Amino acid sequence: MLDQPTNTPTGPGAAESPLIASLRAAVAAAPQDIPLRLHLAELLLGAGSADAAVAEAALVLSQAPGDAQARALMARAMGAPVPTEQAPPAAPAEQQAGGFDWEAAAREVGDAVPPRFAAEPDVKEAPLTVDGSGAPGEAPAYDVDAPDAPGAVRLADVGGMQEVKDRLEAAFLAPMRNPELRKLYGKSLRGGLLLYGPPGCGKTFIARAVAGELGANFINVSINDVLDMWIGNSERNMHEVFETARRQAPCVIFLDELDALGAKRSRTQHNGMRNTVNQLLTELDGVNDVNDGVFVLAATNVPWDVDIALRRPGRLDRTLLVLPPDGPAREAILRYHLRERPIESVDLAKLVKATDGFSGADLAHVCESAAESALLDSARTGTVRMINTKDLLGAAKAIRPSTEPWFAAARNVAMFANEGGMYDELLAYLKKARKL
Amino acid sequence: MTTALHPLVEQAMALMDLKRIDEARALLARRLAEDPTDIVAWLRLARCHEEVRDYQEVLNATNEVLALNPEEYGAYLRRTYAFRRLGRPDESLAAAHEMLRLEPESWQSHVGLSEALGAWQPRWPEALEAAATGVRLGPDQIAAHYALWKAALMNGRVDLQRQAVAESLRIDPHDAWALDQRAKYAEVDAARPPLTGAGAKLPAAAEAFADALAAAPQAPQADRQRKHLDVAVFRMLRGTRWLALLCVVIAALAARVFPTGSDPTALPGPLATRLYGLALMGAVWGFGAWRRYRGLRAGVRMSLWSLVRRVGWARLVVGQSVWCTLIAVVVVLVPWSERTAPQVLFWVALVPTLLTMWFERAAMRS
Repeated sequence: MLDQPTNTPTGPGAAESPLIASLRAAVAAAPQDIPLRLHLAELLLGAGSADAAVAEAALVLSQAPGDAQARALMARAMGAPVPTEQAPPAAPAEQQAGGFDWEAAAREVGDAVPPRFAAEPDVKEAPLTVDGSGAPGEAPAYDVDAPDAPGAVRLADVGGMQEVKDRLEAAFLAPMRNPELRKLYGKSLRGGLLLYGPPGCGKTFIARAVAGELGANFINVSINDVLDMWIGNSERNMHEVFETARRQAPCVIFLDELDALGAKRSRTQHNGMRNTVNQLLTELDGVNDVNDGVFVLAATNVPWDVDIALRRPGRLDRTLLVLPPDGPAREAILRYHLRERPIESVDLAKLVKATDGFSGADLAHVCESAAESALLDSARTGTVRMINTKDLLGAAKAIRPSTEPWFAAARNVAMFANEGGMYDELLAYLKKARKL
Repeated sequence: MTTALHPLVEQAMALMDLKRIDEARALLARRLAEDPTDIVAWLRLARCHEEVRDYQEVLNATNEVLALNPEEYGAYLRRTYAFRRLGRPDESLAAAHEMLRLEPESWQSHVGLSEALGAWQPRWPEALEAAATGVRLGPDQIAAHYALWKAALMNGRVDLQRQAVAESLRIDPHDAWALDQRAKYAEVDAARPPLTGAGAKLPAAAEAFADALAAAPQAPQADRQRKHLDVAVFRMLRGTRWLALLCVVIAALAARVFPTGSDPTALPGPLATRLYGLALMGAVWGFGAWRRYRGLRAGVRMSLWSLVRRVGWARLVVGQSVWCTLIAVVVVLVPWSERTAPQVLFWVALVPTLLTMWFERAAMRS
C-alpha cells in the first residue's frame, strides 16, 4: 500500500498547479524517492495545501523516520516551528539571545501539538541502547574493543532488568571489582558466566555492558569465527583467541552462540567441531593462573545443547537467566523505538502491561506494525494522523510473543533435565509465571 | 569434476550438524557458484534439501551429480529416498538397485532397498529381510535399526520393533526417536493388564516420556509427549481414589457403621479397633501413594502438580480423594452412638465418587 501514492490526499478543493501535478506523477513513478517527495511537499505547503504536505511528509517519515528535513517540514505544515522533542533541553543563553527562542516556540505550540506520551515519567532513564535486535556485537574476529572506545556501554545503559543486574553484580562484578575481599574470602577468579534465555532479549548487549562495567577489553567470538575454526586450524585459532585476551588483560572473551562453539560432542559427527570444544575446554582450564584477568562470558538460546563438560566447575560454571524485558525495560525499549516516530498521547503504562513476555525484537515489531497501521489509515482517509495508543495496543494484541516456543522447550528441560540444579532459576521463574 | 573437500563445504557440513540448514545451503550455493563441478557440494546440497523435505530439489541436485559422475553412490542413496517420498516407487527401487550394484556390502544399500521395497505391501517381508541385512552389516548404526523397526512395524513384528529400539538406545542412550518409542511401549505396557499391575507401570511410562522430553525438548513430538505424560500422571491421580475408597471401607468396618459381626449393636466401636483402622488407612496411603510419589523423579512430580493446577477434572479427582479420606478419618475417630450419621457419611463419600469413576470410564470408552 505504501507504493500507492495515488491514494495520497490532495486537500479539499485544492487546485493543483501543473508543476505539482507533474511532480505527483513523478512521485507516483518513484515512490521511494525521498528528496522528490519532500520537494512535492514543499510545493504543496507553498501552495497552501498544508494537509497534503503533511501527508507527504508523513510518508517520508515512514520510510526514513529520522529525516530532519521531513520532520521540519511536517512541523511547519502543522503550524509548529519544529517538533518539540528535537529541542535541546537547555539552549545556551547566547544562542537564545541572538537566535530562535525555542522555549517560547514550544510554549506557543504546546497546545497545538499533543504530548508524545500520555504520562511523562518523573525521572527519565538513561537513553536506552537495548534495541532488541540482540546484535550489537559486530566486532570483527579477534579485534579487541577497548573499554573507552566510542559506543562502549555500561550496565546503567541497560534499561530495567534489575534482577539480572543484581545477579551479575553478586555473581561476577563484585568479586572482580574487589580483589582484597576476593582474596580474603578465597574466591577464585577462574570460571566464566553463561547467559541463557529466549532469543532477542539482550544477552549480547548485557555481555558488552559487563565488559564496559569492568573496564575490560572485549573480544567477541561469533558464529562466523567459529565456522573458520572448524576448518583445519581449530585448536590454533582457539588458542590464539585466548592468547590475545591474555595479552590484553583485563579482557572479556564473549562466546556468542555457545551452542555452536561448544556443541555436545556426542551429538556431532564433525571432527573440527569436536576439536574446537576440546580446545575450548583446555583454554578454559588454563594452567598456572594464565587466565588471570581473562573473563569468559558466553551466551546461548539453547543451553541444553551445550556440551556438559563446559559447565563443570572452573569453566562456565555460573549461569544467568536473561528473561524477556521486565516492565521498566519494556518501557525503555518502547521509548527507543518510538523516539523518531510521529506519536501522540501514547499511554506507555498500558502498552507496557499489554506487552508482558515480549522480547526486545517483538517490541520493535509492535512499533513497526503500529506505524504501518497509522500510515495506511492516513493514506486511506487522506488525513494524516499520528501513531496513537490504539495502534500500538492493536499491534501488541496481534503479535504473539516470540519467546513462547522457547519457554515451551525450556519448560521440558527445567522439569526433566535439571541435573545439578542448573535450571533452578528458570524453574523458579516458570513457577512464578505459572508456565509450568 | 571436484571431489576434494572444500573449506566452504566443510563449514556447511558443520552447520548441517547443528541443524542450521538454511545457512548451510547458502554456503553450498556460494561454493557451487564458484565451482559447479564440486560433487561433494552437490551431494551435501541434496542432503540439505532432504532435511527440509524438498525432494524435487534433491532430484535436481543429484541430477547434476550424475551428469558429472554416473557412478556416484551418494547420488543414488539420496534419490532412493527422494523418489520414495515423491511417490515414484519404481524409480526408487531402481536407484536402490544401483546402490547395491555399486556397494553391495554397505549397510546403507540394504537399508535403502528396504525403504524402496516398502512401497509394495506384498514385498514387505523382503523389506524386513533387507533391513535385517542392513543391521547385520552396520550393527552400530541407529539408522539401520530404525529401518529394521520400520520394516518390523509393517510386518507386525512387535518383538523386532522393541529389539530395534533397545539396540538404538544401547548405541545412543539419548537418541530422541528411540526414547520416544520406548515411552510409547511403556505406555502400552501400563495400559495392557486390565487390573493387576496396570497402575504399577504408570510411573515407568511417565518417566519414559520424561526421558524423551529431556533428550529432545524442542522436538516436534514434544507436545505429544507432554500430553501422554499428562495422561499417565492423570491415571496415577485417578488411582488415589481407590485408595481413598479403601480407607472409607476400613473406617466403616472399624467404626461398626453397618450392623455386622458378633455384636452388631455395640456402639461406639472399641477405641483400639478404630485406632487400628486409622493406622491401616495410614499404611494404605503411605505405601499406595506417598512411597510411590517419593519414588517419582522431580519432573514427573512437578507434572502432577502442574496438571492439578491446569486441569479442573484433575482437581476434582484430588478433591474426591481428599474428601473420601477425610470422611473416613471422621467416621473412624468419632465415637458414634448411633449409626445414621456415619452411614450417611459413608454413602456421601462412596456414591458420588463411584458415579464419577463410572462416568469417566464411560466417557473414555465413547
